[in-house]
Formats: sequence, C-alpha cells, structure tokens
Amino acid sequence: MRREDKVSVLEQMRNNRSYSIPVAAAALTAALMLSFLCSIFYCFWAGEVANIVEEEGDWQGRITGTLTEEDLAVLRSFGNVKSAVVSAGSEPSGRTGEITVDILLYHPRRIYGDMPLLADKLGLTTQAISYHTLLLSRYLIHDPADKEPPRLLTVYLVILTLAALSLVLIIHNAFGVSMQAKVRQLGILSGIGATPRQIRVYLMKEAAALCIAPAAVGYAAGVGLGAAVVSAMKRMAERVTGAYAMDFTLHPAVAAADAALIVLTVACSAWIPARKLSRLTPLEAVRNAGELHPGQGNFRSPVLAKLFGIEGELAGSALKAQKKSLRMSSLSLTLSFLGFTLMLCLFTLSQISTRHTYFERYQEAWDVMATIGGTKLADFAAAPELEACRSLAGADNVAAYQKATAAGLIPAEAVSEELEAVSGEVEAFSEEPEEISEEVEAPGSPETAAGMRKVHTSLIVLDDETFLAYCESAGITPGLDGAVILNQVWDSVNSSFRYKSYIPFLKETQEAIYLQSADERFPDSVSEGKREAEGGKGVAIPILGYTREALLLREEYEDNALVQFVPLSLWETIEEAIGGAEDDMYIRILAEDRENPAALDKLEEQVTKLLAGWQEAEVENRISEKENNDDLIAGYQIILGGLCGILALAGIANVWAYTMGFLRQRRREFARYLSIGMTPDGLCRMFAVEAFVIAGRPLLITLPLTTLIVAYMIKASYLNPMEFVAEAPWLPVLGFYMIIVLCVALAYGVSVSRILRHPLTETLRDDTMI
Amino acid sequence: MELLQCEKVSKVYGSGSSQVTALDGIDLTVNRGEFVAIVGASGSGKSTLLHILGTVEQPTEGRVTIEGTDLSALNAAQAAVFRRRKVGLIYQSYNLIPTMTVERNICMPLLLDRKKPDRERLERIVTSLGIQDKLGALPGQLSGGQQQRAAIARSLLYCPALLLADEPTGNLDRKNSREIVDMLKLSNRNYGQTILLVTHDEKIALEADRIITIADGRIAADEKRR
Repeated sequence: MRREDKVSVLEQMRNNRSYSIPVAAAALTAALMLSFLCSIFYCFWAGEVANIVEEEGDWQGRITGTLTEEDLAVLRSFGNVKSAVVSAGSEPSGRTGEITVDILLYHPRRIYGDMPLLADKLGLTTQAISYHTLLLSRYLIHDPADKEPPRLLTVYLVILTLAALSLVLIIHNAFGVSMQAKVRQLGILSGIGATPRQIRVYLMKEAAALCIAPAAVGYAAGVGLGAAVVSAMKRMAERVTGAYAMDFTLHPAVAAADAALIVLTVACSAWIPARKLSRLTPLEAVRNAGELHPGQGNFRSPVLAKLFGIEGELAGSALKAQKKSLRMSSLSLTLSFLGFTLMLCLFTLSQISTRHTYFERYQEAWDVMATIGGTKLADFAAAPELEACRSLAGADNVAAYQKATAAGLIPAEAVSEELEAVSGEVEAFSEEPEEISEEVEAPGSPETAAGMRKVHTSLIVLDDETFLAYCESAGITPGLDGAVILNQVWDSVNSSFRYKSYIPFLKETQEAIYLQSADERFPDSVSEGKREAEGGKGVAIPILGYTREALLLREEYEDNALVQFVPLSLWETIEEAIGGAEDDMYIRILAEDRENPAALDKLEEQVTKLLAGWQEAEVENRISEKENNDDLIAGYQIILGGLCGILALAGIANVWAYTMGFLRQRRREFARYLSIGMTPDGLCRMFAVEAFVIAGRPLLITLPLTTLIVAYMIKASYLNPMEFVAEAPWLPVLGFYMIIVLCVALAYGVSVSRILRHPLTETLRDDTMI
Repeated sequence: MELLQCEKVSKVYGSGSSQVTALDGIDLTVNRGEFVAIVGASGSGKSTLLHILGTVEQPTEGRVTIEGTDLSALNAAQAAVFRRRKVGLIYQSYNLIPTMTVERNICMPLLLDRKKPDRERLERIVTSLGIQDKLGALPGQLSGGQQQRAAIARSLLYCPALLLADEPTGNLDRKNSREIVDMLKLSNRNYGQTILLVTHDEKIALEADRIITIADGRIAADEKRR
C-alpha cells in the first residue's frame, strides 16, 4: 500500500469511527476464534502424536523376519529410509531368529508404496510388513486399501474450515455495512471513471488498513487464550489419574498457517461486499446512498403494531426491510445465547445426576481409594501393605476387596413373594426354570437342578477382618466359612432408576447357596464330569445370614443380581471351582478427618508411597476427585462459554455495524417521520422496539427450545424438576442475556442520539438523498 | 383573517467568519385561505422560511404565530405534535415511507395521534387526487406524480391549518407538475386550504393568489395578484 493511500484510508477511518469500529471488532473476533481453534487443535494433535509415540513407539513401518546385518544395511541404503533400527526388545530369539526392524522414512507419504519394495528386496513377503497406521493417520497418511481409516486430523481440519466459512458468513456483513456507508462516494468515483477493479482495490485496501491491527491483536489473544486453556487442562490432567497431560506448543508452520487462514477469512469477508458494490452503476450508487431499499414484499408487522402501536409498526417494517443486513446478527446472537443457555443447563443436569449417582451416593463410602491392577486380593492380603495401610496415621477404616461374578442356583420356592409378583418384569433370573436340564445334578447343593432357578450372582470378596466386622454390624454371627447375602433386588416396576426401591430377593429360608461359574462355556446342560474336568465345577457355600444393609463401598451393586459378601478365606477355597474374579482389587479407606481436604491429600500421599511397589496401583481421594470433576466441568464451561461469547461478540459487532453503518439512511428515514409529526419520544420508542426485537429474538427462541430440551432430559433421567429449578444457572444466563441486551441497547442509543443531534433541516435539504 | 404572522424573523447559521444569515428580519402575514407562492434564487432563504413555519427549525430571532400559537415557545415534542396536526408538509422528494402502503402513508399523521382515519374523507381526497386504486401499493411501485399526490393526500387528511409545499414539482415533468398545481389550487378552493408554495418555476408561481419574492433573506417583493 502506498503511503498516500495509507494516509487517505487512515483519515477515512478517523472520520468514520462508527463504521470502522464494528469492522475492527469483526476482524478481531474472527482472528481470535481462528487462532484459538488452530492453537488448541494443534496442541491436541501434537499431544495425541506424542502419546501414540510414547505408548506404541516412534516408527512408521516395521519389517519382521530373519534379518542379518547385511539386510539392515540394504534397508538403510534405500533412498527414502531415514532410519532402520532393531526394535527394542526384539533381539533375535533363539527359536526363530526373527527380529523386528523399526523404519522411519524421509517421505512417509510414500510408505504404502516403498515398504513392499523393501520387503521384496529382502526376499520377504508383504506378511512381514506392518504399518503404524494410527501414527500415520495423524499425518493424513492412510492405507489406500483401508476403506475406513482413522480420521481425527481430518475432523480437526473440517471443523477449522467450517469455522472459517461460518466466520466469513458472519463478519462479511460488518464489512458490507461499512462499505455501504460510503456507497455515494463510490458512485462519485464510478461517475468520474473509476473502474470496478479500482473500486474493489480501494475497498480492499481500506478493509486491510482497518483489519491489520485488530486481526494481529485477535491472533495474539487467540494464541494466548489457547495457551491458557491448554495450561489449565494440563493442570487438571496432572491431578486426574491416568489422564494424559499435554504441553502448549505452537509450531512455526502452524502459526504461519493460522495467520494465513485469518488473512484469507478476513479477505473473503471483505471481498464479497466489495465485489458487489464495485458492480453498482453510478446512478444505482447515488440512489442507494439515500435510502433503505426494501424491495418488494409485505413489511407489515401486525404483532408489533398491536403491541407498540404505530411506532411498533414502523419498527417492524424497518426491521423487515433490513432483515438481510440483520440476519447474521440475529443468527449469531441467537446461536450464542441458545448455546450458552443449553450448555449451562445440560451441565447443571449432568452435575445433579453425577451428584446423585456418584458423589452424594458414595459420600459415606470412601475417602481414599486404591485400585491395584492385575492383583489378586489373596496376594495383597498376604503382603504386609494391608496391615500397614490400617496403621496409617489418619486412616480410620480400611477394607480390601475384589469382585467376582458367578451363577447361582436357587430353589424356585425360595424366591420371595414380592419378587415372584414382579418376576415377569424384573430381570432377576438368567433363564426360565424349565430350561434347566432335569438330568443335571447340583452336587453339594441340597437340591437338584430340576425346579431350580438360575440367578446372576455378584460376589464381593472381603479381607477377613473387614468381613467379620461387617457380619457384626449386620447382626450376623461372624464366621469365615460362609457368605452374607444382600437380600434385595431393584423393584424396577414400582420405582425409577433414579429413586430406587428394593424388594427382598429370597425368603431367607435357605441355609446354603449353590454357585457355579458364570462362564458361558458351562451351561447347565454340561455334565458335571465335563464341568469338573474343564475347571467349571460348582460349589455350595453356607449362608451365614441375610441382610438388607450393603457394606458401604464405592460400588454400584448390580440391581438385578443376588449380591453376596464372601470372606477371603472362603474365596480361596472356592475360587478354583467357580472362577470369575476380576483382574483388579481395591482398597477402600475411610479417614478420621473426612471433610479435611489436606488430611485426605496427605492420606492419599501416604497410601501412594506405601503401594509404590505394586505395579498398576492408582490412588485417588474423594474430595480431590470432586474438585477435579468440578474443574473439568468448569474447563468445559470456559471453553464452550468462550466460544459462545465470541459468537455473541460477532453478533453484537454486526448490530453495531448495522446501526452505525446505516446512520445516513436512517437519518433520512427519521427526518421523514419527524417532518410528518413524529415526536423525538416516538422516535426513541421506535428505536427501542427495534432493539427489543433484536435482543428479544434470542430469548424468544432460546426459552421454549431450552425448556423443551431440559424437560425431556429431566424426564429421561427421572430427576425432580424442582431440583433443577433450584440449581438452574439463572444468574449466568441472565447475565449473558443482559450483556446482549445492553450492547444492543447501547448501539441503538448511540445511533438515536446521533440521529437526533443532526439537524433535521440539513437532512431534509440534502438533495443527494432524493 | 390572519392565520400566520412572522415578526422580525431571522435565522443565522454558523458563527464567526462562517456565519450565514439565511433570513434577515422577515415580517409576513398570511390570511386564512390564501394561496401564496414564495419565489427566489437558490440560497435566498425561502426554504428556511418554510422550515421555520413548519416547526422543523427554530428562528434565531423573531416570533412566528400560527393560529395564535407562538412557535418559538414550543419544545421539540410540542413542535412535532403541532406539525402533525396543524401543518401539512409537502417535499420535492415526496418523503413517503417506502415500507408502508400508500394508504398507511396517507394516514400516518392520524396514526401517530392514535386516531382512526375518517374513511369517507380519505376516499374523497384520494379520489380527487386520482390515486384511489393505488392505496394498497408501496410507494416504490408508483410514478413520481402518483407519489407526490399521495404526499399531498397525507398533508390534507388531517385538515391542517396550513399546507407548506417545498418545490413539490421539482422532480416532476411538465404534465405532472401542472396536475399537482391544479390539485393544490383545487384544495385551496374547495377546502379553503391555506397554502404556501416554494418554487423556482415562475409559471407555477403565477397560479398563486400572492407571490412573495425573497432575496438575501429579506422580502424583496410581495405582490397580490387576486
């Protein structure tokens, strides 16, 4: 841009601040959103790639076979091979002599062509080749033969493209209105011989001058926001067990692509109206300068006329005449408010639900929890750590347990009357009784299988100390040779899953229960001999007592299963016969000071240290988990709320662009009203109605839609509507809406004050407006 | 019987070296039922005078009274209501609202007063102006002459004390100009409407009962023709 052009454009901007500000705001919004999305997506992508490399290794292709040093030399001498190293842990085995070579290429896009060539050179078949498809897919390299390759990066790119296109649609209107404001000037230029190209260049230069600074600020702010979000996510991830913590990085190429995308978006947004205006003839341009040109159609607004009288009718017809200019602001404001309100409502519902099903429900059940993967309770109980846990300072109660499943056979007459009454609808039984073969005996059971019913059985294997204490608390004579039956089943007929009521499962007349493997390999028709031979032998275990009070553990006991608590001593004797134990075991600790976050943190730290020798041990505490959950939701809310805020900003910028951009035309319109006797108060009322409609539309659309969706969600999740009403995000939603209302009102207020400040006679005299 | 009286009316725009005196001590009286043409060169102050009479503008000095109401004592809202009820303004550019039908445009001053138009009077006026079949159209669908007729109908519907027309034929061809002037004359004769018509066109001015010539913000001549 030449210096004199710059001066001229800057002068124009100074003289037309009311038109320039919305354009600058639109450019800033677009740049902020795009650079935020780019930086966030890049970090997600880079984090994903680092995670894949860490977990699966840094290689693109692999060749497995009996390879010699010479073969490796052949591989390395191949033009596209960057490195070929023997995979860690794949030294030649004595039996096969096979090794795996990890290969990285200079040009990975050629991998699906080069790897077969490499195999061929080594005299191997394509069976010897494997590809790191997940890693390659992150670079948009897909196996041509794969019809459904992983598409994460494609999804990122599609979202970015859609975001850029949406922004073009949203912000081009601000440019259009700004350019429209000087259409008369363009008409004069055209009249004295400026070509459409010259006019386009002039408009684009002006757009560039207007947008460079705000786009740069938006770019930097977007990157900063991205860094802040990634950093917050990293802090959260570090606290959440098993979550991958990513760092904020911005590759120079991504930064450059991001800048290019912003330039392209802003340029397209400016180009659309510039192209349209450059095609106007001088006469059209001069005519367009004076009037809002509504075209044909019905501009009556009976509702507004009824509500607000003639001012409402005039406002309605003005809005209808300009609906194209206002479409994007209406869309942005409505979408932002709808998105914000729905997001907060759904998060509130989710929080209520999580609290009911998790935090409140297990409030009393745990303080610190350790999960040890791939470990049997028996092995852990034999180690000193369990006792060490019990003697930890701050630990009040420690329970170690493991879960297992089995199938139970119970006599039909032992089923409670309450369950019988609803048994057609409550899924407590595996099969109908008649499906059990009459020939199968149930050794050890007081009954034969005939006439017995098969039930799902969930076993909670407790360390002996905990089991004995539980027996005492349940009023059952303690013993280590039998099980305690949790005699209840969810009455799904008469209660919802949210507010469950239970009925007795059994009549409590049985003294023993027959258990067998839940493994499907051993249906009841399998003979006892075969079952025994294959390790699926059943056992009968004595019942020490029945209870309706479950041991408080952080467990969702199966609603339709017969839950049994079994001491470890007994389990060790029956495990072999019925199997079905899960791989993990758990340690549940109740703290002495349950509501003190510092005490729980300390206890968690001590347990972590104690279990350092156990691989796959993960420790968490109740309060910090709740905080993590709250942080996570807050994080989501900040990101989604921020996006809604950016969208609202675009809408507000459009409203400003409209009110300021059409000032000249509206002056003429109002001069007309004033000349036939409309009072300034009437004018203000008319403006107020317009602002009311623009700001009211998002509310009018959002309220019924949100009510419907939330009502549906409440019904589907069986929540108490009043509970939602009490916790609904009224204040943030009201605050967000009030910001929209205030910004729209301010735009109209400034506009009306400018119109009224301008002498009416000057407008009426201005012949150019004819 | 006096309808309008101007006493030493002056209007000055700007200040210091850029000060322009548009009207300089105008004294003028117009009687009820008169058809007055105001002529003068461009920039002579004739439109300024019309705007002051139409309460669109306030004089810098002097006093204007219409039907006993001192216009300088009116605030903006009162002036608007006065303009709506007592003055009909007709402009060269018609000033019709493009998004409303011709009928709504004509009824606008009444609607602003929350009043229902008298259908009989409306029909009589539009029929006499020859636009009875255009009531449902938008202004953009009418010719210039038809639009100006609609503007005249609007100014007549409220039975204003004074009709002020600022170059009402400026955008029209000779035939349409002739017809508009005829209609104004008809309105003057049939309804006894007082009319002040600003024009450049001497032939049109000659249709009036009285011709006032303004030059440099002063009344240079005041000729009664009938």
